[in-house]
Amino acid sequence: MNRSGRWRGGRVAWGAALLALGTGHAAAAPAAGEATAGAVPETVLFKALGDELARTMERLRIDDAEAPYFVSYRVTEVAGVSANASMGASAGHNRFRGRRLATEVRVGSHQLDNTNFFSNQLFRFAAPRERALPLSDDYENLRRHIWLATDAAYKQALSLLASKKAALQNKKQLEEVADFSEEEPFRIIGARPPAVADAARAIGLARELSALFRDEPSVFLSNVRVEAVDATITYLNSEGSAFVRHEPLISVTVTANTQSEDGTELHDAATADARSWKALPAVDHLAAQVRTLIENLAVRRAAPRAERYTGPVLFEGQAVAELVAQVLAPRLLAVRLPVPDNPMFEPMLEQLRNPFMDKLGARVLDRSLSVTDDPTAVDENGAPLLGSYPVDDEAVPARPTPIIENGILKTLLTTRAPAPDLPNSTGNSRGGANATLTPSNLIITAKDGLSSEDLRAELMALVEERGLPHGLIVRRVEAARGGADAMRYMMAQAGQGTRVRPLALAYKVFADGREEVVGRATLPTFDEAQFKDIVAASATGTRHVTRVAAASPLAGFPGAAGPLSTIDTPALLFEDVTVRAPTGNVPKPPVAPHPLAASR
Amino acid sequence: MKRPLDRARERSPQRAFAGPALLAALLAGGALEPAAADETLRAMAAELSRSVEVFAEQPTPVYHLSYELTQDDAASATASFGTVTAWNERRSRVLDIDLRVGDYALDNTHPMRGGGRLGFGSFAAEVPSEADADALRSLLWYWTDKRYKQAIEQFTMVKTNVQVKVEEEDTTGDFSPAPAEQAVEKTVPLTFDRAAWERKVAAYTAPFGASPHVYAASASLTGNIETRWYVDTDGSRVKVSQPHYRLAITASTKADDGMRLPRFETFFAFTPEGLPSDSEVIAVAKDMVADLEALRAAPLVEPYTGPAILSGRASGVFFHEILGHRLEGHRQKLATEGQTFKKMVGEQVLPETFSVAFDPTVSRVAETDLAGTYRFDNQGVKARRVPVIEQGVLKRFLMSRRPIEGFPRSNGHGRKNIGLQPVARQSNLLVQVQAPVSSAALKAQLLALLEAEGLPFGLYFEDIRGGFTTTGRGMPNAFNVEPVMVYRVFPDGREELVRGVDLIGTPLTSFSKITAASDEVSVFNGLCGAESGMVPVAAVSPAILVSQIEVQKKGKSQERTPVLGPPGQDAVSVAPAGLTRQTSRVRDWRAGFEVSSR
Repeated sequence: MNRSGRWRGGRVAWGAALLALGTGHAAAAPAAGEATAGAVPETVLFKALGDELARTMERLRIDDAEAPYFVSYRVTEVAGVSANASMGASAGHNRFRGRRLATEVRVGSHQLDNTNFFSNQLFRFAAPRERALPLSDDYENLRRHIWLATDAAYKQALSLLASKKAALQNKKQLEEVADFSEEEPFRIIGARPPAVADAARAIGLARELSALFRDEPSVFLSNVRVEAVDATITYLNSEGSAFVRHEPLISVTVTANTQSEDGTELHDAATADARSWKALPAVDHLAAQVRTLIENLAVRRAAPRAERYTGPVLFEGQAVAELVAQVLAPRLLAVRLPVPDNPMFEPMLEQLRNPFMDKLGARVLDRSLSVTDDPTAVDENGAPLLGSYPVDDEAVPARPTPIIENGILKTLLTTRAPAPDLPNSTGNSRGGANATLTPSNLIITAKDGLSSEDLRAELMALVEERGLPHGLIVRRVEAARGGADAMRYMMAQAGQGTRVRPLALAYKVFADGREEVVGRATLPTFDEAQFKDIVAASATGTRHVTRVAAASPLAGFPGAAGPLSTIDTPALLFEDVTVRAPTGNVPKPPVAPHPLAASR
Repeated sequence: MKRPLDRARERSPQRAFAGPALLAALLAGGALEPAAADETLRAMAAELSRSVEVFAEQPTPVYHLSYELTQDDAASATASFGTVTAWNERRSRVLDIDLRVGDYALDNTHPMRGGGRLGFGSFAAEVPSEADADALRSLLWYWTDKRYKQAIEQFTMVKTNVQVKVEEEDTTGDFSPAPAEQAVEKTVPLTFDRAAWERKVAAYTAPFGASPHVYAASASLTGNIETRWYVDTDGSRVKVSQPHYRLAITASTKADDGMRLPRFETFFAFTPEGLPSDSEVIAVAKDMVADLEALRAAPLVEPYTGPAILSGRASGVFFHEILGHRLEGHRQKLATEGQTFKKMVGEQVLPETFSVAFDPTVSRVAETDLAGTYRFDNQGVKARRVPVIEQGVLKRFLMSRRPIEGFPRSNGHGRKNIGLQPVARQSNLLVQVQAPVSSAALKAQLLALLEAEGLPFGLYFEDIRGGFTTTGRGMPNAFNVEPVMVYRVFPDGREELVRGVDLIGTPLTSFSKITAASDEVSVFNGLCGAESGMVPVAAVSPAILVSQIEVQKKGKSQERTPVLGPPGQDAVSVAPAGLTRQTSRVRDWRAGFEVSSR
């Protein structure tokens, strides 16, 4: 298997000096000022954060109430541009700059503190979670903002802890799980990469790519969005951890909608993400992607309506990666369910419980398959993958986590909110203020993988065995659609509806090798249990960048803004999958022809 | 020490803003050019006529169609405690489509009674911000088709709803025709000097850092150029471009009992140069700091009923809430509305000396630009002066193109924010009073009322942040004005700053208690929110004396003041109790207000 390009292990690839590590935890209230002295860069921001942190740990306390046992500051600075274009004309742009502080104050103890608690108060107190900071490094001013943010967060923490204790006092806790994991302090300061927020370039690229739709009246609505954002995250906590992480990101999203002859609405998107303009595919590569998007829609417009099919299905390319991202990946996250203050919420939260939490040590995949989460993974050229990072949002260093070995579930990904039997973080907290548990780069490897010819032969053998007229290969799943997608995910978690987005490109495969495209179809009953019955996998894998749905009920719902993950997986052949056309009615085709088609 | 009420004398005398001189002082809008020269209008008109032709052949034809493109060129800079915290610059252009099937008497936008989907939903689509006919026409085509399908679905539901419900009280139709208008203004360019704006907002917020008790302070300078292209099947072809520049300063402290005490100042103008000078704004910011310190020490007022003076700005909001929202035409029609004034046309609703008009064509009063100024409304209807109350007698309502009993046509007040259905909304509210009295005389009248009724004190509402009102039938038909600077006025004329109350009441009772007005007017520019979104409005009014008002306790936070003092100060130094206000400032500037109709 072609895995030679991957680099694992050390942190040298980040080109960042690994700074002095603290040793163990200091007693009750570590003097953060001392712990940070000389070890973090002497920037005004770090000085202001450090000085206020020291004062907080030493003196912040209301009367007889508890003092904070842990405080962290995370400052996210962004400068960016987003540009939209349609049919070759610019459709608005936005240039922005801001710096925001997220303050975390914990009172109580690692065992029981103010977090992992679901209360209406969270909504009432939502405001203090983030606060705008001055853009310039004005020490006095930064201190003032940090002081006020800390004060608000401390009061909220005390109030939440009191409510949480009240909610717990009449319950016997069956699972004694700590609220906050003990982790070694860690410091890493990233080097600043070249800035990407180039407004003229973003607007120009959006315009150029969108012009490709001018000659395509068969696409009813299209949009190109180019975002180029330089983000820098500066973190400091009372345990002595500190980091600076630079995350430039250029994202190109091309969306297109049309309707088939029978009215079925068809949607798809092409995306490209990169950390620098140099790493972004060249314009002609992007243009080729757009043309493929247009061609795929044209193929689908003409496709006959999908018939019901139950039998062996081979998932390849983007389709298999999205299948993993949408069905398997959410199950690899140890979702910590909060204690609700209102018992009414208990059944609702219980529905969000990840069934894999009860399967540690059990077989969840075919024995030939293993899954690793690797935030240190690099590509063939030694550049970090898009899901890679040196340190997570809670200052836990990135490291590979073997999750499934030979089909057996060994562990789940975690943050510093422990789950039963999983007391420590795997370093998978990302997403800034809405700290989210997500995979970094999920790498699936298959023992004895087959060549693509053999895999296809295996599919046809199963088809013959079942006496079916044809088999099915799925090559593409529709791209995410923002808000509607979040709702679907929420419903799917609660056992309602399908977990996978509609199939964009599925083909009937006949014994003579002929392929025939199938109209828009869904996988109505597909779930993670089907990964246990994988018949075969390919020897080589496909790498695909996507966003995995947020896993915590407190983290909000997944949106386009979630962190990127890479899914690297072989093609997978499933024995028994049901595919059928979506239910429900379809809108009629447009009354008038497209104005450009009409004028030709 | 000069007292606030006395300070009122420094203000400019009332102007006869009904006069022709001011009517002539028309908008700051751009120069005119012919409609045919505008490529965007041409593309919109071409797709409009193609759509109408195509839909004419359908079983349910379209009887009215309009396209409105709204381009927003916007920039802002924000600072807090002396340093910049954010800036933003953007351009967007959004398409609104009003597509109607049926006829003027009954169409798809007819309000549904007894639940069901509303007759009008929101809709907005981003469109190219460059004049590109092909790109624009493609999007117009796509969204027109979607709107058409929605409209025929809505119309089926509307027809059923009309059949199964009792006959409506108001049987006028759903829409009215309007004259074809032709006007094209040049797009006004946005003036955004980022470095200068950043310097300004930083300087404006620096004074707040001097107080250990100011826990939040920010200044935001925003520029918006709203350019609208409008075409409809009545033949209107209109392009207007309206600049708005706004400076908002907010700061707050907390009293020791946890009450959050805010101060707001906003300034509005059609040009950046029209905003006050840096030294004027910095003086205002310093006064805000003094006010906040004074408010912390101010005593709480218990619920009270008695006479009060409302400053010009406070009475502007008062009229906007209790009168303006109730004169919006469509509220006389919906079965769920309170319809306070529906049957009162021709009747006395205010003292004989009071007249009220809404006039979007007046752009400036008392050396202040008015935010509720425009040339055409969102339904292609030309703006005009609408005298709603003459010598205390109710004459007419504010009208969109939705007719009501006795008022079949629009008077140019169909307004909305992008994506929403226009309804009748306010513009510039102008209160004019015959035989006004001086501020001193107004105060003397208040003191006389106190003496006559043997009351311990009256109230003076100097500054408000905004208010809200409910006009429906499901809730008490009341209003709430939220003051930030209120004084107790004692029978001996002494004034004392107090805190913790909101001004409340019901409309008809409150109007019957207005007894006098001063000879000075103030302008209140703000944004008004209702079912058709936020629209800029202004209220121009003299101070008024109300013989009886009611105040209720303000809601308050239970959060205490910060535990530690500001960084670098070990203990919070508590300012000496009592009033330490500076009273040198000229208070003709404006604050923003939020108004919602619930």
